[in-house]
Amino acid sequence: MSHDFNYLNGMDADFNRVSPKYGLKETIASLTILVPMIVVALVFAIIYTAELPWLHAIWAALVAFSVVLIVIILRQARAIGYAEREDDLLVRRGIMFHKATVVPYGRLQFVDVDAGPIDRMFGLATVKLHTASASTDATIPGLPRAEADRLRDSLAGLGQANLAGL
Amino acid sequence: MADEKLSDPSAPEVWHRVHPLTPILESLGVLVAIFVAAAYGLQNFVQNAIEGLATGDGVDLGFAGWLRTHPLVILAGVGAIVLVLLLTALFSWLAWRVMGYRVDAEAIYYRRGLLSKKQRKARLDRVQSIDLQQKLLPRLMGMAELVFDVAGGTDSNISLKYLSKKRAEELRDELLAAVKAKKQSGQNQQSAEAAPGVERLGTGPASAIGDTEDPVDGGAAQVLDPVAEREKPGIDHSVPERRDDSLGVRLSKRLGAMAEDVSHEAENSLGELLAPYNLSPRIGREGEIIRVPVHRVVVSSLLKSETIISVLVVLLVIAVAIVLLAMGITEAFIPMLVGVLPGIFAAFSVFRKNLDNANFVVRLDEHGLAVNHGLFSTSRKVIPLDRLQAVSLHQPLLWRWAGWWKAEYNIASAGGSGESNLLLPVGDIDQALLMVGLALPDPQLPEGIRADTLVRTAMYDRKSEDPLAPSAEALFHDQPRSSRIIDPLAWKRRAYALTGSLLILRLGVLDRRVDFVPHVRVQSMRYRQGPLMRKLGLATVDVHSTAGPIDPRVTHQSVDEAKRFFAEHSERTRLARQKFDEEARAAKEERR
Repeated sequence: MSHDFNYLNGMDADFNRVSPKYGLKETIASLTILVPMIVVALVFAIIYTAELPWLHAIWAALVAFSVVLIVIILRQARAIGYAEREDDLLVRRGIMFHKATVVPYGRLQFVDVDAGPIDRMFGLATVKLHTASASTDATIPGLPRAEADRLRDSLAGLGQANLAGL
Repeated sequence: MADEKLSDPSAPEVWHRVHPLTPILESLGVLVAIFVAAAYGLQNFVQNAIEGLATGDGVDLGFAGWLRTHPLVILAGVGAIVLVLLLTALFSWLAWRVMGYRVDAEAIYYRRGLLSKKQRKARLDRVQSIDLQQKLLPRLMGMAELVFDVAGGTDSNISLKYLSKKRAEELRDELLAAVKAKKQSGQNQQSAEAAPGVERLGTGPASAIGDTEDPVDGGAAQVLDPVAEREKPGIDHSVPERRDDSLGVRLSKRLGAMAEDVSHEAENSLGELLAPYNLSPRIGREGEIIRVPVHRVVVSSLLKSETIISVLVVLLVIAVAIVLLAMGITEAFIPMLVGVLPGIFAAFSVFRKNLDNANFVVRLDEHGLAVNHGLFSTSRKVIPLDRLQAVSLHQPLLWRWAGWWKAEYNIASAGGSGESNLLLPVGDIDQALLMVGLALPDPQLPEGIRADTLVRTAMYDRKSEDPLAPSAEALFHDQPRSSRIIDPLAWKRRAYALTGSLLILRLGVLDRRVDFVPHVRVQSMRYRQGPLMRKLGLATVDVHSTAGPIDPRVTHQSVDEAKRFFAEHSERTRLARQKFDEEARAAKEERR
């Protein structure tokens, strides 16, 4: 499976994976919406099972969708990688849609560390890099809190060391 | 003009009054609105009258007839109007008494408001630019407003209105000098200043570049200040010419070093710097290098596809109305005519917006490129050449026969929206080359290829008539044949080329387009590939620039080519950036 992700093998970068708990967290986040929907569909299907037997198809479809979604989420979580190189940070995402962003340290404006409620339950955080360009979408989700703080501090230091004119 | 004899504006706590006509000029808008509303009411009456006449029923005077028999009502009406006018005059006078501005060593203050007092402050060291604006009505009366662009969000501007034009110009020059002095002296202390984020109002450099997110939220974020020293109005003359500075910046640096009024010397410098473009620009009166005549703006805006479509729609409606009339269906005629009016107004307003670029005059001075434009209302501004991030040339389909091009830019600043990002609204190829040449660094081409050949090849692809075109064409990397499924028309034209200092993107088949991104200005990059692209063995690389009309991307190259470009270009831009910064740093060291 991992060979899927090596589409940047020419870049000689050593990619770090995000925390394995990130996949779990994303799964739970999506299930908090899907499970109630499935339950509601199931209840209706059972109540009206005599009159409208096709209602069973709805919850079955929802369950199938959830399974597919979870597989995709878990694979996507494994596909996220980041590499701190000498002069820039490389972030890679996606299985169907390969995306790799390179952000030079000298271009960093500031670095955000976010942690939502579910994130905090798992001790995770998201690091977001901002440059002067709004299209820079370099986000590394699912980092362990300590790693996120270390990354932020190290990026801040590197950014200052690499003052670059705009 | 009481304000003109007032004392030195830098004296503390002296509030200067704006021009006494200001409240009237401001309320004129309201008066016009009332007039329009009245006209709208009348329109109903007139329409009824016309319909009445058309059907031969005679005009129903109704209300007017009743008025004639009750003269007292007319008297009361006139009295009410006079009273309203008197009250307006009184309140205008009171409002004028509290309007004012004050300048001290630190900031510009502007206050207004009779009932709810409002005071705004712009710190001198945060002022990005000072523009002189003249809208139609103020212009007719010789008034102008000064707009202070303060680094930061969209509503952080201060608009000081109105002053007599002469006073506005004086104040602008005075303040520009003060801002410059302030920034230069502030530079050394800046590092010792309190942590960024304490005074977010004036905005630190982070938000000056278009991000309003608060970076010190809960201590979770950390502010980096890579641009702390680089936000200035005009051009930083303390750093000597660098090879990767845009030619315009280098030129201004040279001009700054020259004595006043040596236009032939300036012309020589211009010619020398633009030598790769094979241009011989003439410098006219007061450093004028480009003037776009009114008629060209009119014709070019008529030739835009939007204008042509709306004109066609209007013509179609009129034709249908005439046909209906000929068939004897008169009922539909007037409603249709009324219905077509908004369309005409819309077309006219688009047209008027384009006319705003009439008399587009570019002047060259030591601050950079000064632009004046406008037909009914003029505004002037300085294009900060040292903050340009990307430049593009654009040729709508119908401009081809005239050979016209439009030039736009991206800039490192907040609120870069379409209209204000014009480098040239319309111009022939020589003017386009001149503006693009000034806005970009020396292209640093390999031996034997001239810059104008390269740009022409980018503009006209293989149809370029330049004899040297084949050698320039060799610099372009075309899209592979497999991309024709995604880009059925554009795949043959789209290509990218690299020079020592620039990335050039050739785009657009019907509306031709060329994007230029200097290596030193690239922010970040993204390589991406979707499922269809993977099937075809293609990939795209986005080159991130600041917000603006230009969104450069190297599209649908073969996977290997895209990967190589992604890897090599990040290295290339890093080296360019490093050199650029080192030169600036060396200059700063030397100065100390």
